[in-house]
Amino acid sequence: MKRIKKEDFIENLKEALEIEDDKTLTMDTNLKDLEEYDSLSVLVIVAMLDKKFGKQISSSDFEKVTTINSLINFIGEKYFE
Amino acid sequence: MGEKIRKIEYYLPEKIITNKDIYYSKEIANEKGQIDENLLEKRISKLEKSTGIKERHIVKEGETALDIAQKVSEKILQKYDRDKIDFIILCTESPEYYLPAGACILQDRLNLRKNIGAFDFNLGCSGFVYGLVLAKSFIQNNIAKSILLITSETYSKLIYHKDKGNRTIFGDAAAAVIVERSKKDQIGKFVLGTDGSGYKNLIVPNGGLHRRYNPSAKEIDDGAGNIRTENNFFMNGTEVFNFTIKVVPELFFQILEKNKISLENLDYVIFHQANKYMNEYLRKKIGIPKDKYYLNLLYTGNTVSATIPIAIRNALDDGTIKKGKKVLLAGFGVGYSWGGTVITI
Repeated sequence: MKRIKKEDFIENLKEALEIEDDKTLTMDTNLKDLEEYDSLSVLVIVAMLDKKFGKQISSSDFEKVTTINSLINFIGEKYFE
Repeated sequence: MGEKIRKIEYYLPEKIITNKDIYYSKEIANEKGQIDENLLEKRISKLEKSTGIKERHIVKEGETALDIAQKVSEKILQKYDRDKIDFIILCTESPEYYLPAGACILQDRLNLRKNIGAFDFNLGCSGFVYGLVLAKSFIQNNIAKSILLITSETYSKLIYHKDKGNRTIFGDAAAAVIVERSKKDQIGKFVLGTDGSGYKNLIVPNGGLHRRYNPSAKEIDDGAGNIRTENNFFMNGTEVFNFTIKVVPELFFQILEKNKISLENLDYVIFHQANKYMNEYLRKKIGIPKDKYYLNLLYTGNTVSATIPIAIRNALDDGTIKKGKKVLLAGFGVGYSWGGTVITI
């Protein structure tokens, strides 16, 4: 199984969530605090998890997601290099 | 001998709400109380791109789902002998009363014959497909010959005024079809499904008989700035998207199999129009070519059980589908409930 680089994942996430170019996202960025974060962001993340990792995230698990790091932890370290 | 959809019409209530109407608020005002027009335009543009919705129609104060059901019925009966109608079925989740059924009241308001059947049923996004199930069955079993099936929804009355997310997505509308006997089988075989474990994810918790309307209901913030109360409509976006990803691709292929048709031989696909992002995701996941896939909720929003008949009518009007074409229909959502078939225009 091809592992994906964490930096690439963050870049994909930034693009998918349509975050402004001049903003830097790090592992510690709290997704829900981002200005661009809205109810569509939820769909974007669900879609990404399905498409890239074949995973589903329940709404209760999603509630626990805060930083990008916590999202990566949910997906599972084994998917990342 | 079979059944077919003979006529389709839809009605959109007059009042139009734009994205600007919903998002023009104090939150994007500066210290002087002036709205940052640029920020507003940017937000609205992003919203329109992802939801695929620019405007939606809503009923006015005092206007109900039954009223617009009546309006669309009058429209469809303009060029059809109403004395031929021997059954009327109304699909709605915003009933006029707990009792009697709206369809009974419509019989009287529309001046239809009295020796006919009438009832309501309560489904949302899967409603039109289930309505076809009923209509086809009744005609096949000689219970009726000419059925007036109406889907009518007014979620605007159920959504909290501060719930920007849902106010953006949903619109009010009514659609009507007349289903008749026909020489050929023009309504295909159905695939249906239900999963009640998802009932909490699309719901109006209070106001029924389980929990009465609570005049002191507290406001609940979903964390993304959408506020509701338990008296109002609630949709769990994550769970509903999970549900559609799991169920809809399988539903699609089951419909093809049951109707012994391939994607290549299908002329067109009309899914329930939920929102652009989700509908596009499903299209890509299933592998339906863009030119075979209806996607348009720009001026209506998600009109629940009316999205499919509205789509069929629009596709007929702009020439996308014509007589003889095979169109797959699939509805999925509140319940959870889902279903689909292939119709021949």
